[in-house]
Amino acid sequence: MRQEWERQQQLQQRLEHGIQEHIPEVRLQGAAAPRLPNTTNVAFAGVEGEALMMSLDLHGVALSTGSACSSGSLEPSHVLCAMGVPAAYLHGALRCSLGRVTTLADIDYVLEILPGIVQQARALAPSLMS
Amino acid sequence: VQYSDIVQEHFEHPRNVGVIASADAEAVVSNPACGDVMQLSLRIANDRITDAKFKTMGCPAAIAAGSVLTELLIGHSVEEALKLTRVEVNTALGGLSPQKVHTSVLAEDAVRAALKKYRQR
Repeated sequence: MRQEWERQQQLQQRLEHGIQEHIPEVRLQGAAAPRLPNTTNVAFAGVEGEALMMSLDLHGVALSTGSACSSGSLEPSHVLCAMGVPAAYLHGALRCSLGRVTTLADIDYVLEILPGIVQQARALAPSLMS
Repeated sequence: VQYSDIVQEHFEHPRNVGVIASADAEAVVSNPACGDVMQLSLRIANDRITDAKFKTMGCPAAIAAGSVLTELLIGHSVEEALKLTRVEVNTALGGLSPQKVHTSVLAEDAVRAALKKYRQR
């Protein structure tokens, strides 16, 4: 159990450091807080989480978003709101879950494709704005 | 959320992405609740829309709605474009689920806002 905890924690750190290193304007929610090693909530400014989720899905990566349009409600996550997450990030959240079957290669694959997916989604967004 | 094949196809290959430089009509509209923002710009000659480009920050349906909107507008007169509604956008997308119908409303808002400004010039 402890061994698996530590293994997932290492994967989580690799994922989070990789995202921060390769993608500008990201927020890792609760990064400094004690938390589970298998869940990362990361938000990207100026994009919508569900669009990222669908692009990742097309690349064979399954994850979720707590964001607006993916659930019955249009409103952003009340938890992220309560945490004081800035407005630009509120709709761009992804929830990445690791598990026993997640490997280092899986993490590296996500780090390989995610920067391009975020960049593409940002290129589609109106530049802010007159 | 289930999407039609048409929505998926427009999401993967959006048409007419961008902003027309010194456009004849343009608008940026948004839905504050879900955070979607759509920008539409039009080239108009002799009261006919000769080019349309869009940008969207939003979910896959909102991106597809902007993309299909440009296709519905190009080649049509301003008069015809003013009659375009969310219903035609929804139909052109192969039918949106109830929780995504608001993206077709955003597309209608965009064309109305752009053409309102155009008429007021």
